[in-house]
Amino acid sequence: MTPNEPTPPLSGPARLVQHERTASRVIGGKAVVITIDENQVHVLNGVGTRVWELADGRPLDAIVDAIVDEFEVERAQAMLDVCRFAERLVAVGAARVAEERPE
Amino acid sequence: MQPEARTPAHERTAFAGIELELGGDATSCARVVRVARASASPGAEAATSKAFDTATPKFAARCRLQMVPPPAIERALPRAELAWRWSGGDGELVTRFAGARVRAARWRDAGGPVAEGRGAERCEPAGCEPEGHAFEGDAWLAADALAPHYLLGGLAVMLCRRLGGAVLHAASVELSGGVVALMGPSGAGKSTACRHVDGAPLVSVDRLAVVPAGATWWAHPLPGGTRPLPDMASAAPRWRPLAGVLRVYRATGTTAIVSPERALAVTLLRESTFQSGLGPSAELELLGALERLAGEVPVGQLRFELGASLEPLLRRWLESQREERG
Repeated sequence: MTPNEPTPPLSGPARLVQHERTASRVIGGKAVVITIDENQVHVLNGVGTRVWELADGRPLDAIVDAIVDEFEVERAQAMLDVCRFAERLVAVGAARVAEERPE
Repeated sequence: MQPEARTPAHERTAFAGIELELGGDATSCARVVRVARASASPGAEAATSKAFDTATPKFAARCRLQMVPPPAIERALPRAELAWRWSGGDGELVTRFAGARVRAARWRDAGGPVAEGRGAERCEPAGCEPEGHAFEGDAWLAADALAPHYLLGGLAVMLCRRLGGAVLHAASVELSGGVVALMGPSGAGKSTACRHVDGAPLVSVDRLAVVPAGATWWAHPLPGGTRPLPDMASAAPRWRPLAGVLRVYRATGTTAIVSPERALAVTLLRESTFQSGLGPSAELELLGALERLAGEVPVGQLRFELGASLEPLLRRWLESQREERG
């Protein structure tokens, strides 16, 4: 998927993985993510940074579990927020949906 | 792309902060020299002449360069080496970049044009033992990099990267013995802001090399991007300590400087940093350099109104940052 294509809605089983054509660094608790081909810089907030760190090919369900564990948020709300955020990451070319968890 | 003529040549010239000694292909040499001479007389006919041959076919270089930092900061700076490709000719390039000596080995013909740059074969030096930290990789410019001054601008970006620094898209002024970089995209108000700093000599118009050396970051104006203009830099091109970096915004009804948190400061720096053909690992390295810059040099956001006097504001900000950092 390219950044210009519409992102299909994502749900719990979808596996999120950081795109290979990105570079990121956590600075002061916030991830600075560069999408190399688009030459765009994105700064994520605390929760976004945690989602980004966990985006290693695991399902969004598992990411939501971690977020609920670490932040004060209801699971239903976390699922909604994480899925929308994941869609955003995919839309800007920072992440992609993996078929299986990469080795 | 037609192969360049193989007539040997030897030329010496200067290109703003870069002194060049060119050998090898006569056509390529002549093009570089033509642009360099035009740049040396800003405001003259040359500045608007066809010397900037952006419509002619791209040429690229291949050579091996050794950068030796300027004596004033030589002890603190690492040595850097750069592999550079140039298709269509054997030759030798010896250059001085921003006061730094850059030596080159013999070029060796790649056996064909590498106009696209990507995937070109490794450059093997001949007659030159590599010293310092070798840089191996593709050294190509953007697809629209047609003219020699773009080539040299790209070269400068890579040299700065090898020294752990970067080239900022910044106009800059000298204030209190240091350089204040005013960065931002085209149209942000960099040059306008500089004109609002009364009495401060203009150091750079469009590009500023920033390189760490010990606890100090050093700044040097660079050519590239912008053609020479009549109101070009009034300060002599040399290394100066970098005092602060400001992202510039034009505003209405307010003139102020705010300090962003570190992640945003790094983001602002990255958005105003020139880069060429970086992969993920090089991009990560650049981010690390910019994080260091943001930690060691004050970075702020300047919003200014037309007509405001920025000189006292900048001095107060620099003073407060000095006190804050002990």
